[in-house]
Amino acid sequence: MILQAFLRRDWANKLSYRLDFVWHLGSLFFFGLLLFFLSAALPGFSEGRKVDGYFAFAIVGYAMADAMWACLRSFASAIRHDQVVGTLEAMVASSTPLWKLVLNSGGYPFLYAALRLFLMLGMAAALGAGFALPQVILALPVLLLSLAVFASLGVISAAMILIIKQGDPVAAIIGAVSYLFSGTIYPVSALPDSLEWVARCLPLTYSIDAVRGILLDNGSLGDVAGSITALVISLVVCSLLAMVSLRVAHRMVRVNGIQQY
Amino acid sequence: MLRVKGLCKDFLLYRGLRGYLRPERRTVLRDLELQVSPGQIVGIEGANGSGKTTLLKVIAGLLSQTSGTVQVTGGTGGAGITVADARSFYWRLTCRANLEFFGALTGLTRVQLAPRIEEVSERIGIHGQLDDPFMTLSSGQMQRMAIVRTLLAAPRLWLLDEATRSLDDAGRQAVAAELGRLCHDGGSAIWISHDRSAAGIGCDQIYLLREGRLMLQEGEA
Repeated sequence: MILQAFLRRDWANKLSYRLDFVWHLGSLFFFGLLLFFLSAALPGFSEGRKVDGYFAFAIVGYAMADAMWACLRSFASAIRHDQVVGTLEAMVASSTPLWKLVLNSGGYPFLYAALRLFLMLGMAAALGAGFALPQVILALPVLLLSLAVFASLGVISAAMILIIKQGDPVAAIIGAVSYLFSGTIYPVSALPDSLEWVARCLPLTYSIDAVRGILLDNGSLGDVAGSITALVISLVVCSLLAMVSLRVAHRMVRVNGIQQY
Repeated sequence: MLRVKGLCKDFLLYRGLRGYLRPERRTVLRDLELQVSPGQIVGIEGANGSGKTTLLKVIAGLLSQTSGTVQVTGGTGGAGITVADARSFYWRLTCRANLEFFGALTGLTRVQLAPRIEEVSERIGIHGQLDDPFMTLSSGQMQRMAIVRTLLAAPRLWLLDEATRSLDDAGRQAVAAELGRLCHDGGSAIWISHDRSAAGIGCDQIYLLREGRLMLQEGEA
């Protein structure tokens, strides 16, 4: 019931800014085309996969990174907006627990991130990335698991925003480090050996590995079991951290007030 | 019924880098005692910055107390707060969509909410604007919306923080009628104001909040 209310609110709010909504979704296609033309300049790129070529490689990495960023930022920005406008205080006054508000306010951003992810993969397929629809369906559990990990990171980011209001280090650090080290648009093997361990600490690395394994190697879920296990561990760890950070945030905002600038 | 015992509230002020290690404490409420019985309206007056809003937010559970206890007991429904700043809505949404959203947070289903929104908005005099975007409302109408939002949850204890500041006479009368209805049904209210409006609204007791302490001004102790 509460989730439905949040989804209706966010959908109505987004529809009231139609051009922004269309442009935001449309920007995906520009990035897709950017990678498409970039791949034409890198004809020799090969990772030895069944579906090879730079475009297929980069679009999968970029789509996953975009989904992570959407989750990471949008949970926090939804909470920040409500905090500044004063609606967060009005929501808390309704006696709904703060953790429920934060989780439910992530409902729309989660679905939106999922939509962007599937649109991007669909566009990649349409532009000739080389992977087939059945493989995308096979990758669905990995995509959803990845989104759940990103969403829990988003909750940690939102908890941080509740406390420090602006300049959330969680989103900034995880976002920047993930883009840099997770093999988004270049392989992890391109990193110096001494930095590859950083990639192994980031959930995005395993998301990208697993999705590339299924889409570009025509692999099964069993073939990417290692990455899936790492994602499940990430989900457990991040969910626990999310719960703890929300508890801490709740205690702290009740000391000095929720509505702060 | 509300019972507040030995309530103290300090705010932590973080000034500079050192302040984050040792934040400065600013005491706003000191050893405050208050009891509001069913059917009672209590007025609290005080100058700007005397801690009136802080007190209401502690009672509403929006702020934690540094020490002391706050108990809201009796019947279903907790404390509902209406503040003077009535801008805390989604301005692009219609009034109805706003009320449906905030009403859902109180645990009401859509089926329960629809007639409740109609009924309460009619009583408060904002029914005609329900399908207008919130941003088209005047400040008085926004204030009425804030009142409707609080009343949707049917609170047992209504906390009004300068809640009629932007209202016209008809609006004030509607609020007075709601207070009468609430008290008749065994609920209670705290009316907060920086001026002498508490007497006009018919408060049973009026306190003065000064330097974080409550002093009884009018009514039975």
